[in-house]
Amino acid sequence: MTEQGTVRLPEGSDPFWEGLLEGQLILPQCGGCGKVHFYPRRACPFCSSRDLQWTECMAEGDIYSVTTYRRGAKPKLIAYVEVTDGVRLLTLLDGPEGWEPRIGDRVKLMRSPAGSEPMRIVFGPHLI
Amino acid sequence: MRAVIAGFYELPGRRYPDVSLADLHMQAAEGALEDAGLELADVDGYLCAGDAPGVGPFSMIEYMGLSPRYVNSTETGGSAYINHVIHAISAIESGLCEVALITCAGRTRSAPQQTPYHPAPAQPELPFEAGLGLLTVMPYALVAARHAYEHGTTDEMRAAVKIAAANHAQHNPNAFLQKNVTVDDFMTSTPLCDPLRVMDACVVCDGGGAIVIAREDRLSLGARQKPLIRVRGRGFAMRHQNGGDIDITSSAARDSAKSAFKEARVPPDDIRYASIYDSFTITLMLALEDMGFCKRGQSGAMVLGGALEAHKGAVAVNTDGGGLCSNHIAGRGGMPRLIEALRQLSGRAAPALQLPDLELAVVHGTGGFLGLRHACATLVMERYQ
Repeated sequence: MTEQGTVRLPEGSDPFWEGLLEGQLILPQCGGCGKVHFYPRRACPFCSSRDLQWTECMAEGDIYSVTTYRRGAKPKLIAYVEVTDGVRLLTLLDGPEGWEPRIGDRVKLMRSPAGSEPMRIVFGPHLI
Repeated sequence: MRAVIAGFYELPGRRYPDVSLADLHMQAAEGALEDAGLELADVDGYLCAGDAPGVGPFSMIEYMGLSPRYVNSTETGGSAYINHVIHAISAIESGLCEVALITCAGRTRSAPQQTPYHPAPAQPELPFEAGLGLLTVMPYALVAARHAYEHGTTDEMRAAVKIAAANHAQHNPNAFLQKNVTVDDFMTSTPLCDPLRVMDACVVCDGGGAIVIAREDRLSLGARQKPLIRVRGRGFAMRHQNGGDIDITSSAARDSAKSAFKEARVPPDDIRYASIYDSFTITLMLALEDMGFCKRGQSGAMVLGGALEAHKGAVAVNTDGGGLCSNHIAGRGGMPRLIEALRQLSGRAAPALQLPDLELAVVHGTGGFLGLRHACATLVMERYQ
């Protein structure tokens, strides 16, 4: 958090953030080892290759762990969501009142509102 | 020439509204040096972490009037001081210094704004996490929730960890919390972050502690009459999100404890006392599994029935009351955990909880944030006289 209270987006991660605005999950995939990683960076954390391509992953996943924080003005849901290729992302969950997400539940990436600072990664209920 | 743990001291208070942070560090240093039979003028090595005011060691060495030829401000959160012991021993045994001082102090109760973690704008993960509004308890709650899902760990099991700490703390007149705790007290304590409640969390208090490590020949004859303690096994390891390939129900303790037990040539089964980091109940439970005191997923079954209490279970844990009831300096439990293990080894624990003829003790720290990125340090220590 900078003095202005905002976070500068790291150089080179624009496709990820632009994807969030559209509700798309765009992550770097390594041309060397083939693995997808999160958070996006300039070198693959598994094999150090810099041969990375942005790839659109399925914008949904399963809850790997979830907790409700109960000391704020209203309850807040934080989760690890496992998406394509086993990548586990730390995210917020948001859904209709009374929604009680559990480990193993399917969730879907929500479209992030444009202009929100800092940007938020939010998953919500997966409606079939 | 061999390095020994020559002195230690924990400030008795848990509230210091009128003492500066720098002076808490210095008072702790003076206590540990007195215990070692040494003086500030003898110190030629100084180690501190992010709880020391100022940048690295600069401000504290000036405040205390030290001119060290060796300094180290390795920052691994609450495990730093255990890690510092490893570094101090290496420094002494390779000739970089002779008397090393490690200090830790905090005023998180009286001055909560002086917290030691300041996210920096250049932290590469920050843009992806800043929007989450993470608080310390949240990643630990995610660990506890997943542990419950994988292993059926219950609230009653976590309560047993707090109850053991509270039973020990009743013998510690300096403990921040000394009240008896029942399962019912635990279950009705304020919910924080599911499944964790207030009683799952360590205390928030002021305090300080220090350790002196010295080349054995620097000790006076008198000091050498006291039990001397040396480190027999060392381990350090870190874990992080690993590009998204993270397993939150195991920790870096797997690697740090494995190294420490291997170097010490001692199996976990031979350990009768362990100080284990307990920022939250789940932190301690995961460490029991990862260090090999029980099998993966079995910490809940292990802790039921008072197994962590002195004279009850195979291994007594945190006989001072731990971070859950006694002390968690500056949000960092490594120093008080280390000091209680040293008390047990030197026969200076509370009489009712002192383990007789103890020759080996373990201390284990988990710094940073379990479930996000953390650093574990483990020592197997030995009394050799």
